[in-house]
Amino acid sequence: MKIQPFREKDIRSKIQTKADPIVKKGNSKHDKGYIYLGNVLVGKVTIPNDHTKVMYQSRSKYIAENLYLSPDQFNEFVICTLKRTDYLKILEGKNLI
Amino acid sequence: MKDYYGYKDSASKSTILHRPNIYFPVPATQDAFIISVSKSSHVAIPLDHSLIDDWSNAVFQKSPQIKDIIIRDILFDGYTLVEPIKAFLEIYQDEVLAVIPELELVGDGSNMFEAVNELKLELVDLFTDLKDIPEENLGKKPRSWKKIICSLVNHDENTTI
Repeated sequence: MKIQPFREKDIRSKIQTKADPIVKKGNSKHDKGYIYLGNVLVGKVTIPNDHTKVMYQSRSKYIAENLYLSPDQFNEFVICTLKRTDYLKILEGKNLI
Repeated sequence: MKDYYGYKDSASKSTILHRPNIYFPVPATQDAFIISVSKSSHVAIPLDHSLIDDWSNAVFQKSPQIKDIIIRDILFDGYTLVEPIKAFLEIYQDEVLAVIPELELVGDGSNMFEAVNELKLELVDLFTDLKDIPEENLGKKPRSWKKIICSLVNHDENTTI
């Protein structure tokens, strides 16, 4: 299944609440989110801007990969059926440390 | 239009046309369009032409043209490359992505120059963010990114371009 078209602000808010990254503003136009398991950095993700614009799948597929999610899991992540506890279980099952 | 049926929504004062079993947002009238969330359940969204254009572009985005590139320099605030970096462009009709797959970095822009410049800034940001994190606080991928990026990028704090 393909990633569904979602608004940038919706992807942003789900990343903030479910991946709970440490957010850093850098020189590029997007904020970066650094994802930790305990005190170990396991991933990074580009955080979309707070726009109502719909994100192209070309871009959201990379965000899904950065979050270690399949397209189906990413859809559930944004739609809300995949909770933070589910997401942490996915990360813990990936042998990232 | 025979697949559609309509009703007047008194709350929003919109004419809403309904077409069953459509799983993409479909412009139905000048006032609203419908998203089917299941075979029997539909949501009416007030019509916003720019949003519909966004959705249709996102849904029907065509396959990109792929082009390999080599990044030879960063040209940003004292950052230089020790050696060139292989990257590629995904060129879509309305958007270009510049990607370094090994570092999982993506820069985006409305043309290839913007996308490559954005990718260079992403590279600088990753270098800056990772260089001071101790190895024991890095998972497998970030450890690999740090090793690669520290071998590729050099920063002279006394040089500003």
